[in-house]
Amino acid sequence: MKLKTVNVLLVEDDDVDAMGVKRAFKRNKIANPLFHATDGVIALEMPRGENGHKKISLPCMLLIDINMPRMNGLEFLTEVRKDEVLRPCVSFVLTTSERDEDIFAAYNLNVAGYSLKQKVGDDFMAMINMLDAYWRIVEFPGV
Amino acid sequence: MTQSAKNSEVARTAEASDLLTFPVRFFTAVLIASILPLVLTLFGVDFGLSVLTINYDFNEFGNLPQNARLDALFRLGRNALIHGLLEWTSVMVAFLAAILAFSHFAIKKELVAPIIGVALFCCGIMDAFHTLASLRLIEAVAHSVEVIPYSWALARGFDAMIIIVGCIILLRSRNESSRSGMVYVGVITLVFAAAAYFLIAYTISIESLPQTQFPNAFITRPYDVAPLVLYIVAIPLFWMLYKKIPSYLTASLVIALVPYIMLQAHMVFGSSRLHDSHFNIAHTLKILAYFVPFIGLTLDYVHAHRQQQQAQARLKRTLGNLKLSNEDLEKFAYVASHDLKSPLRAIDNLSAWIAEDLDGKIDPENQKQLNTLRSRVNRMENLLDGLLSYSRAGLETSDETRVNAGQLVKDISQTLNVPKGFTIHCGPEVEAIDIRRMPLEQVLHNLISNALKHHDGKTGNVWINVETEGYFYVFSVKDDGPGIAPAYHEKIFEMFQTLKRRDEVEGSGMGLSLVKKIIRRQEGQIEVKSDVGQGTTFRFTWPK
Repeated sequence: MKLKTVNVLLVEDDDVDAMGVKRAFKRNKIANPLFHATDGVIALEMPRGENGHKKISLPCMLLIDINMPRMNGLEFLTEVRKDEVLRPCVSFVLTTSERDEDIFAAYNLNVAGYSLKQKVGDDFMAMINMLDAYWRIVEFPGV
Repeated sequence: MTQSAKNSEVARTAEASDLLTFPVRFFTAVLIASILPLVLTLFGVDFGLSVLTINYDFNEFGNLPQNARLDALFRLGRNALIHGLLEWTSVMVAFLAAILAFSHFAIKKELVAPIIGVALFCCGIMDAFHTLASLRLIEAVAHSVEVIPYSWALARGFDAMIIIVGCIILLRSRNESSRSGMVYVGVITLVFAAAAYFLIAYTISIESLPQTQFPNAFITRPYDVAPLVLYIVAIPLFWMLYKKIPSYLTASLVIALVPYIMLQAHMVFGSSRLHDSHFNIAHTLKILAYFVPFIGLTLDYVHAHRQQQQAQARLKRTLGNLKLSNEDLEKFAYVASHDLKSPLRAIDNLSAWIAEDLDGKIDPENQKQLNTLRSRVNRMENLLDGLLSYSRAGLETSDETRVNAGQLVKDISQTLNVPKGFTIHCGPEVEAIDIRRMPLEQVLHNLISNALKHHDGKTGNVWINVETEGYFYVFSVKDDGPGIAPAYHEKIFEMFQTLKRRDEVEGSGMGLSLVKKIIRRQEGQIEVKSDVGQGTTFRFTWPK
């Protein structure tokens, strides 16, 4: 069975955090295409190919920060769950927020996981490895 | 002038302006009431009682039926009875005012009230004696025709003297609410009461009293001149007292002088015999004269109550503001430290990546600098964490879990990575009590970890004990470490204070200030006993 390439869309306003994810991908030799949106509004436009963005094909995995300008991660997730096309995307929250309310809200929006990026270094690597393993093992809805 | 003196001056002025403006309406009412009888007299109204002469034929009296005889006797005693009623009313008012004055003192601790109370009480005693003797309820040697005016003059003179003496005492005293003042009042009370008693007892024991009434002279009752003069002398004194201690009570003393002077004037220049118009007016005005301080005291109560209500309202507002600003401060500290951490994390990441990428490619000098950079970032994070937990410390937690204190100490020891050679000892009393886990856990955690972290030996001990003291536990955390010089015993509890360079012992400097904050939130206290080379003991109280 041929593995379908999973695109990764990183929704993150902090450039250094985005660099961290990119770096981790590179170090773990993860070849999946990684796209970076700096807030929720742009992240909605990219898979739809709106506003001059190149359309990202599904299946797609979303890595979402919560605190962002314009449209935050939770608002973005709400939009994703309403969208016919984007709804099947697998979503992970990757944030600094430890607030219980945020964690509950995220899981209520059916995220696949919620992890804190406080822990840099090995823990972060383990998280990235987990993601890599995730799309190797888990079947994504093919298009 | 020192700052505190200035402050008290300001406070006094504020209080004075808050109260008074002299109560003019009160004064006017009393003035009108005091002058009215005189005016009416000038218009020909007679308040006098006719001289009763026994014009009964005693044979006829003897023939009257029993009841009629009794009625005749009552009619004969009418004047004495009316005098007795007037006097007794004033006695009662004096006693009531005295009681009010003493309870006023119990509340406000101002010497004015009890001294006035003493004066009124003694006057009441003298008037009571005077009345009882005049009614022949107490056996007096002299006839009541002499006893009444003589003892009246004595009572009035005594009354005027006692209030003047009291006033002078008050004017001279610096602090009108001192404890020694109470003793003072007690002594004065005894002296004056005894003087009052002996004066009257002496008066009623004398057989022939001097002539007191001169119906045809300008001054009809010369013995009453002295009290009149004293009352007039009292005017400036009482005014000074009112200026010194402005209150309704002191104002009422000034006002009371109006009926006092009027009643004495009626006696001195008017009354030529017992029970005449001026005699009765004077007795009625005496009731008024006692009644005025009574009203003054009552007004003072009302005023004090209003002030208290205002103060309470102010206090409530201040408390509300304080709570708000505390909440703001906690929120600020939380937000600040949280937001400061995010760029810090970026620096941490970037420097980590640089270190990774350049690993082995840079000279040792740069490598050392890079390591220092990383460790400073770490320290900054610790400081922010400390600030964050300080801002959250002592917030009400819903965690009501109770736990055995010995178990709590064991749990803490496990999270602490106790170094080899170190032992944490737990007293048997600690193992015997159960206690709320949070936030005591944080307090003990910080104290024990401090003891371990700052220990200078290869081996060491920490002892945890507890005693019971009333509603509190007193915990102690003792170590055999290097100890802390007494000069630093205050400083260690301040925020961000460390006694060693952070390059030697890494720490946020927040641990003990956090401990102190939590303990104070629990209405407890913490103290430290230590000296260099003696080890350190922290003792703190904790609610049960």
